[in-house]
Formats: sequence, structure tokens, C-alpha cells
Amino acid sequence: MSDEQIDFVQGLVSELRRGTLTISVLSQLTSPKYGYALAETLEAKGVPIEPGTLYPLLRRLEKQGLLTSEWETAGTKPRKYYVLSGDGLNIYRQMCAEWKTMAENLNNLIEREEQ
Amino acid sequence: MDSNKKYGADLIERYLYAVAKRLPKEQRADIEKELAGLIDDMLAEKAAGGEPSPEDVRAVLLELGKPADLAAKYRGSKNCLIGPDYYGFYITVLKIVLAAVAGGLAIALTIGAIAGGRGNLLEYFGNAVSNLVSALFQAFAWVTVVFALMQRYNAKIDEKGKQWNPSDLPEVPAKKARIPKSEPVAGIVFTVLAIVLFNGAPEIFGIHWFGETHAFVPIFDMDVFRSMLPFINAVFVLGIVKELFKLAIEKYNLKLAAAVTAINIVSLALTLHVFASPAIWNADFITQLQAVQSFAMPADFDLVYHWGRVPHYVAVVAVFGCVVDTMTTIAKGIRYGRGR
Repeated sequence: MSDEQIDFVQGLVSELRRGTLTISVLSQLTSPKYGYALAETLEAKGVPIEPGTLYPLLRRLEKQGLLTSEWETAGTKPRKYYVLSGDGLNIYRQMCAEWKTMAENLNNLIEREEQ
Repeated sequence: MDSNKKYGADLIERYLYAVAKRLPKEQRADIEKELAGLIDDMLAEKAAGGEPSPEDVRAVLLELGKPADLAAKYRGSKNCLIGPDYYGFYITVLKIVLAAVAGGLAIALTIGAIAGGRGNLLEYFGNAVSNLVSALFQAFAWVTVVFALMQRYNAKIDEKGKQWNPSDLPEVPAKKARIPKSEPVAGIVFTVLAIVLFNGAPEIFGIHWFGETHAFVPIFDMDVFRSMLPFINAVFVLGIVKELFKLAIEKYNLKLAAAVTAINIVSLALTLHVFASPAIWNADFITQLQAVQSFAMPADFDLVYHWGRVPHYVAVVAVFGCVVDTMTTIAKGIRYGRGR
């Protein structure tokens, strides 16, 4: 593959991934986590998100009422912990269902094509 | 070693400041605190337990990205005055409002002129033109402000309710190449109007006061202006010739593009000869203005200096306009067909 093609594929992949960011983040926040710990967890599970993207996303999700946050000042450094709200949990479950159907349908399409 | 540490801390502080100043005030402190924690964590990982070096700090900041980009992500990048959701509707409303203001005011002023009793018709006309221009600017400003506010506060306009009409579909290129007659006709009408004004009433190019006494500060140096009139008229005549070409050829093609290019080059040269030299402009415009209507000079904006720069500004605008007109005509000529 030429460099150009590689770039092109990477662009498409990151576009695909962008749509799944919210589900990825919500999935890890059934228990409270602070931003950097969340980034590390996601990376360890093979879904790396740049902190420069993750942190603003956490704010946005909080503003939309999917997450709640709390400053934890007991430790050595003050840290902001985020966790799913009631609404957030409902929405996360719905998103999971949507994702599964979408993935199934897409797999059907791809597999038909491969036969 | 200590100075290195200080340098790193300073770099972080500057970075946080650069991000925070681009954020809404209420969120600044909180986001800054959170980002400081993040940078700390990232540094700790980079330095693997040791003391982070300035290079580590630089690497971490580079990874976080440009402060402006990061701040934009926090703001949700609503960075435009009027976004794509509103733009189409904005343009439609703007056209209607401007047309209505111009039409209404023109009718009102004509009736006023016919009703008369206001002294010098020429003065009245000059006044009318300046009223019209300021009314149009006001209309433009208000429509824009309203839409900018809607954009900002995300108001919903139900444009979906509008029935889609297949006849609204744009014409296919073959027809698009045609120049509608209205275009050159309007061009000619306006040019004629300009010739009338420049030759018959050069007094309107200035600022008038109709108080107890009539004061007038001209924009141009009137003697130079009169001596330059033949050149100015030549530009107008060339403009009319250009519109006549469009009327005659009726569509964009290479022949028209060649004619327009030639005419534009000549008339740009003439325009620059007349308006891009300081001679034609009234050198004492600002001081004369002050003599009539004493106003405080704004401290941060040197009026006299900028008035002196007017020939340059005019030159820039003239060149820009000429280039745009020439390039679009050539581009359309190439796209819509050679020959005939």
C-alpha cells in the first residue's frame, strides 16, 4: 500500500472510532474514575483516546447530564472523578443495544460480500 | 537542575493560561485545575518516577496539542458567527430585508422630492443617497446581529416545514453558462447613475451638515477631481462596454473572458492612476471635519494617518475586485465552453 493509501485508511478508521468514543467512555464509568486513570484503562483495553480529546468529552457528557463529577481532594493531588448518572446509565444501555444491532447488520453485509 | 525545574513549571503555567483565557470564565478555574492534574500525571509517567526534565514537559504539552485547539474542543467548537444551519436562511432573509429597505426608502424619498419644498434638489438628492446607504448598512447589521444571537443561543428555526420544490433545483450547467439579461442591464443602469453623479453633482462626495448654515467637507480635492474627470469617465465607459459585451455574447465563453480581461486591465490601470495617488483626496479632510463638528480624536485610532492611507486601501480594493472579476469570468469561460 502506498503512503497515501495508508493515510486514507487511517483517516477512515479514526472517523469510525470517533463515533464510538462516547460508548467506550461510558462503558468504563459505572464506578467513579478520574480522567487520566480512565485514559490508562481504555488504552490497556486497546481503545486509546488522547487526553486532549477525552477531557473535553468528559466535560461535555457531564454537561449533557450523562455523567456527574466530584473533586476528590483527600489524596496527594486533587482529582476530578466522573461517574455515570442515572440517565447516563439508561442511555449507555440503549447505546449498547444500538451498537450490537449495527455491528450485526454490518457483519452480515461484510460476510455476504466475502462468500 | 533547579532552574530546569523552574523552567518546566513556568512552561506548564503558560500553557494552562493560554488554554484558560480562551474558555468561558465560569469554567476556567475548574478546567485549569483538572488539566494541571492531567499534566502532572502524564509527566509522572514520562519521567517514570524520577524528576521530569524540561524535555518531558515539552513532550507532554505537545501531546496535549495547541492551546487554541484544546480550548476549541472544550468549547465544542461553536466558533463561527453564523454556522451552516442558519447560513442559507440568513442569506434569504438578508436579501429580502435589503431589497425591502432599498425599495421602500427609494419610493419615500422620491415622493419627498416631488412634494418638494426642501430647497435645493441636489442637496436633497445627496442627502437621500446617504440616508439610503446608512439605512442599508443598519439593516445589514441588525439582521446579522439577530442571526449571530440565534447561532449563539442555538434557537431553532423550523426550516424543515418549508416544502421542497423540485422547480427550485438549480439549472444544469449549459443553461448556467448563460448570462441573465438583468445582470448587464443593472450594471449599465448603475454605471450611468455614477456618471451622472460624478459629472453633475460631485458635491455629494463629502459630508454635509444642514444646520442653520450649510457646511460641507469634500472627500476629494475638487480641482484635482475635475482634472481627473476624463479618466474617471473613461473607467465608466469601459465598464459599460464590458456590460455590452455580456449582453451581446449572452454567455460565458473564452471570447468574453478575453474581452473582460483586457477591459479590466485597462480600467484597473486608470483607476489606480486616479485614486491610488494622494493628489485627488482632500488632504485636510479630517481637520476640516473637526473644524465643523468638533469631536474628540480617538486615542487608539490615528484618523489622520488612516486618512492618509486611504489611497493604499483603495488600491488594494481595486486590485482585489479586478482580480476576482477577471478570474471568475475566465474560470466560467473555461468551464462553460470554448468558441461560439
